[in-house]
Amino acid sequence: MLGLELVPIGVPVRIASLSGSPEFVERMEELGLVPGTVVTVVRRAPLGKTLQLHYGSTLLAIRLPAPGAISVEVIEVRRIVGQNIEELAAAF
Amino acid sequence: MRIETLPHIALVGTPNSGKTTLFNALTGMRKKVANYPGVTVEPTIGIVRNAGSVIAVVDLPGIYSLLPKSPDEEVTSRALQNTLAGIPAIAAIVLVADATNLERGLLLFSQLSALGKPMLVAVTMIDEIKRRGAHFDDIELESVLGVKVVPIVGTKGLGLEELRSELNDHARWRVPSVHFPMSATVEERITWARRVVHDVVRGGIHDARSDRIDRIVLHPVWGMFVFVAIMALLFHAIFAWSAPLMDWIDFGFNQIRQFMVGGMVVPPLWLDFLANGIVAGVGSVLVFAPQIFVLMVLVTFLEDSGYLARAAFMVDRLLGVFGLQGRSFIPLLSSYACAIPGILSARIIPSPAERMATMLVAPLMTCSARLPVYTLLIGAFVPPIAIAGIVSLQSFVLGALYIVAAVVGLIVAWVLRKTMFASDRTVFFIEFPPYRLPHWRNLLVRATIRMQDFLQTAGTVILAISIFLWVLVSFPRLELQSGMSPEQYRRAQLEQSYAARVGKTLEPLFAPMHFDWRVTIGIIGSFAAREVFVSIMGQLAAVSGDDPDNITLRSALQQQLEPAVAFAVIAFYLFALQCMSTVAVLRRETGSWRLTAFAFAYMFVLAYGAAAATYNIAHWLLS
Repeated sequence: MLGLELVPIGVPVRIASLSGSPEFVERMEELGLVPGTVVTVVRRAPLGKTLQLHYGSTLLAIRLPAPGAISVEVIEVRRIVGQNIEELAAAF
Repeated sequence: MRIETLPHIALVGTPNSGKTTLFNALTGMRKKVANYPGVTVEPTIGIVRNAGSVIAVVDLPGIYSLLPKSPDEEVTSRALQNTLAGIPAIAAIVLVADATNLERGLLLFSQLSALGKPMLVAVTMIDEIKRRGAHFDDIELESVLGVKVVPIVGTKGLGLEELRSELNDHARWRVPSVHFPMSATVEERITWARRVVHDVVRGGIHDARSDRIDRIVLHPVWGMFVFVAIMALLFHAIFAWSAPLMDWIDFGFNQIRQFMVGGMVVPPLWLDFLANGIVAGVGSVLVFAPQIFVLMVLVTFLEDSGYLARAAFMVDRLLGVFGLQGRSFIPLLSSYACAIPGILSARIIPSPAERMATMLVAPLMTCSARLPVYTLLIGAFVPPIAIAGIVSLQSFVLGALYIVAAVVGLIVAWVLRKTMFASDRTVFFIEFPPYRLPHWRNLLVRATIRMQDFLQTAGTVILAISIFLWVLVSFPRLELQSGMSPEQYRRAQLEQSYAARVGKTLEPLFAPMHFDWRVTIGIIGSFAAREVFVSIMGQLAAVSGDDPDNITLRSALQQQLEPAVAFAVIAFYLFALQCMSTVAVLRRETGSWRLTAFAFAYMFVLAYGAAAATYNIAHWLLS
């Protein structure tokens, strides 16, 4: 498990858990960031911290309230090579 | 016909679901806005007439769920639960769901279905998912949800007529069966929504075009160039595109005044009142309408095109340094035209601390009402020489004023977030809609509504002040003596008017910056609306015309004012919260007179201090 903010650009990861205020957790879930969802960090905004995520058909910009607020697990790389990320996300 | 008696149908959807576009297409120009629409933050009511029946449709701010996390979401949530003042009970709900992001709409459906109201689902952006090579199955969705599903293709075409006739038939809409108990978790609802999306949307719906555009627009280097270029273009357009119309309005009103009182040494009182009280007052309000219109067209264009969300992403970290966030960008940008839509659009910021800080600094951004003051004084006191052979010193000074205002605003925000509004960590998030070409109807409708609101609210205030001022300047009446030139007469009339008496009494207030009684009256008189300063100067300089480009007024000011005083006046207007409408909106949006008074006080202190410092420095430099 590692914080989403540490994930390198372009590597798909799976959301493991969310932590923080109840509002934060609830809003993230409403945006579709529920555990099990496969997410890719597309890029970082100028000056770091703000991330652009891609999951399902969503593009979301986010600055996390704290490191590790969204923790993720690495998907084994061999399994996703050649697979469409959308299909993978739909499977969850 | 009273709108309140009509059946009210709510349009509900997630942000960017195309809800407002659909609303505008359904209702055209016939609407009643509860208040200023910046980014849709207030419910708007429109009328749909179809085959003899009349329906009121309510456009509510976008929400992600019925559990509100920011004030704009709370408005929607309360309207749907029939507890929002000014919105009659909602008879039925149209859920506007975006086909490219159906999961979000379905999550909302799972919550709306528990309200027990008849529902219909309008699925927008069908053309967009077709473009991406996917297929949407409305029959399947209808059978899953148990309510009517209407696909909407494009912003004006297919589906709209069907939706219109469905609105007539709303009594026959079905109340969806409750899919989930209230206690169901978001995770459970999302899992269900994903399964449904999987069944009704077939084929990949990844938006490769937006990806390609983002690679440039969000690039760390090129993206900044794009951002700066778009902002520069925006500000250029606000002034350049509105200038001809503003000149025309100004010219027109001056012609009317000339026609009414031109050539008369002492016009009859009633004519003087009409020309210099009413016509001048109306003209000074109308002249801003083009600028506000152009700004609203452009901001709506940026918003609808999908760029505004990206801009918020680009500047989030920078604003974060000052305790604000990406979403503060939209209110601050709008405030460059007028602080009122700016303060209202701060509702999209979920964290109260960041929202308050954003609202309290929004009036520092250089709104268009300051422009006539700047134009007049810069035109009169800054020489039109070129610096480095390219930029004129006048434009340079004007540009510097815009930048100083923004920098001071950010510093104040930083201080506020360290003191009054210190809070723990906050979150910034914003969804990127796909890039789209905005529909012209949306741009025109939004800009028109905004302009009408400005004319009504600001208009009544400014007109009232103009009339009051005319009384102060015109009384007590002086008899015309033989041998007096019109010029001498006007001066003499002015010297013994109430305005002069009040100004002279209050002069000591502004002693540190050596404002004479004329400037004092100008500042006090423009307390409720900054732009009134120009027309006051026009009246007090005893020349006709309140046109900032008016050469006579300019040369009169050059004779009557010391340059250091003129610069101090500019410094004063740079910061002072001289706008009654903004004060009223601040009070409503912060919910506190104390905070509103604080905002007024801190800006006055900044303004007073800056004016005193500017006078002394300029006086020392120039003498």
